[in-house]
Amino acid sequence: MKGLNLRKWLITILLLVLLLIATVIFCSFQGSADIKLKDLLEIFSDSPGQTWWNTRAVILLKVRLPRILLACMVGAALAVSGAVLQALLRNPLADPYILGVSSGSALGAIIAILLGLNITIGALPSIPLFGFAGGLLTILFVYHISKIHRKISIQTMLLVGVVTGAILAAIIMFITSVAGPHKIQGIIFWLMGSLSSQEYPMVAIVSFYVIVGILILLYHARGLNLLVLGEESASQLGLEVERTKKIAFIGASLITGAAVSVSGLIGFVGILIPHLMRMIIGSDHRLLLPVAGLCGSIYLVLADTLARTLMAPAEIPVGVITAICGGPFFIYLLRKKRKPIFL
Amino acid sequence: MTLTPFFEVKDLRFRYDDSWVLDGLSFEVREGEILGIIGPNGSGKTTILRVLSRVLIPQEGEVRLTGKNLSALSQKEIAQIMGVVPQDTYFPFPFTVGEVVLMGRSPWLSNFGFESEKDLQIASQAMALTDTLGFSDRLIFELSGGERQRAIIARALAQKPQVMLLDEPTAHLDIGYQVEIYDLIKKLNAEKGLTLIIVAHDLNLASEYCDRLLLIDGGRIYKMGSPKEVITAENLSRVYQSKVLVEENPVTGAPRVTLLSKLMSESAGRKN
Repeated sequence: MKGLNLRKWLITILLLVLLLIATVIFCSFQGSADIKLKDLLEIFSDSPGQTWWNTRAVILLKVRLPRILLACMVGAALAVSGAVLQALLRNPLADPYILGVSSGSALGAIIAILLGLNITIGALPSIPLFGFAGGLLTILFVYHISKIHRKISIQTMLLVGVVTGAILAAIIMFITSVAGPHKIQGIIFWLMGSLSSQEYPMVAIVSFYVIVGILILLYHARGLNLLVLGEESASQLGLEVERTKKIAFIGASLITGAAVSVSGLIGFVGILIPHLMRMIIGSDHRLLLPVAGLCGSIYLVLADTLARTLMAPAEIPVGVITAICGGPFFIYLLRKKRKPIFL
Repeated sequence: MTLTPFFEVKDLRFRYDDSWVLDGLSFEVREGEILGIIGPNGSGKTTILRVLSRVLIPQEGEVRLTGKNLSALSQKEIAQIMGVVPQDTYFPFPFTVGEVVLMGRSPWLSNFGFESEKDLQIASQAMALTDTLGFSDRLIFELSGGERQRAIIARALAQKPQVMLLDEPTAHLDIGYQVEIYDLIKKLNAEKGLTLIIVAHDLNLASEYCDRLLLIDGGRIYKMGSPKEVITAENLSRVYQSKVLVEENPVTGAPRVTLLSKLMSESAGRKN
């Protein structure tokens, strides 16, 4: 009989980390400005001061790299959050946006766009700040409405989340319909999702939330396995069910909120990657969560590279790429049976 | 067999909302016995199992497990003593049978722990005992009802419990599988000394395999005792509101129940 052990776990994770690093390096050298790997050596060895040196270094280190790192964080956050919510709600259709966090974030961001606010707290400009606040308020609302007799009812939470999301989406639609033309463009750009024009400090803040959130969720991965059996069985197998549900819900919402507030609504990663990974490595969340996180990163980095290079200098919304590339592959895999693949 | 009480239930009352589902139950479960809980639909059988495994907390009364108050134990401590086999388990995601059985080791592991060689060994033994070792790499939802039920029993066994609670373990199975599951239950009791509490809907199987029966009606104990004391035409027709014929099984000597249709027994009466 086979089981998951630390060695298998470490080897799988290490391989994927190497693959992610390779992807990041490869994608750093893709783009409309032609920069080759050998240029990088010149950048660091040759005398600075020449203008070509400056432009290339700026493009590579200040434009492409932060964007790619942000894609890593957002991809990991969406994939892990999707996997966690699917387990928590015991529903394969769940995705990071199902409980209304995304709509809350979107409304917050849109209010910031509409008011043309220019507040900065810490390193956060007003749009992500309002986005994060909107998401947080929505989480708290859904959480408290779903609590009956000090217990969270999963069914109620799912319904409250979906309805709250629908109400917020209606408000967003109303705002969009009355906003002026130049504001509409900003709103639509945000709703379609984009990873462009981000600065390092913001990438750092998002990374903090996403990494801490994922580590907390990973620590409760075995509890998620038990929750998939249903709350009653999970508790009979020794799990403190209410505590685990609470941590899973708050953790998943937090990383989703952090991702959405800086990148808008990038679709499909959160539902596609967890299912793909389950088909390949199975449903044990101790392996599924880190694998989904890393593959989510790799997938979004590749998708965003296509988004900015395919029709350069114009940009395709990255959500279009994630869906068009991932969808058919997903359907193909659905037709095949899952075979447990272990190293 | 020793007579130390394994479970002590005293004046237990439980309600979901306004009306009491369990209304003043007091009974003991002895170590090493097979106790069957029988009664009509809605009489509170499954609720008793939920209270005994502390999924539900009773409003009044107390439950003692091996002398300790159940509410003083952590969920983990309870799971180290008690394994529960639910009526049916739905798996929304693909887990292999081996993975499911290994989940039975949960109460013995730390939060982000991996199973050790010893855990794998215990799970393998549980699977050998339930004859499920052959499909440990298959997905749990590819199994037939009987195979899946055996795998879930293996999961409960992997907890290394002293007592196992089963909720209608043969509810969706055909007769061959029903006997197979009950034979397995008997074997676990005889070989491992496991105490078993079974909510049973099939009166004949309960009568054959259980040491004692607890007949529940409307959240109260109607009768508790050996199958011969509990399975009588009078008790059953009172509680189940239907006509039954109780005779002795010529092979085993246990009481055997035959249901009589109200229509047919009337017309048979007229012919005589």
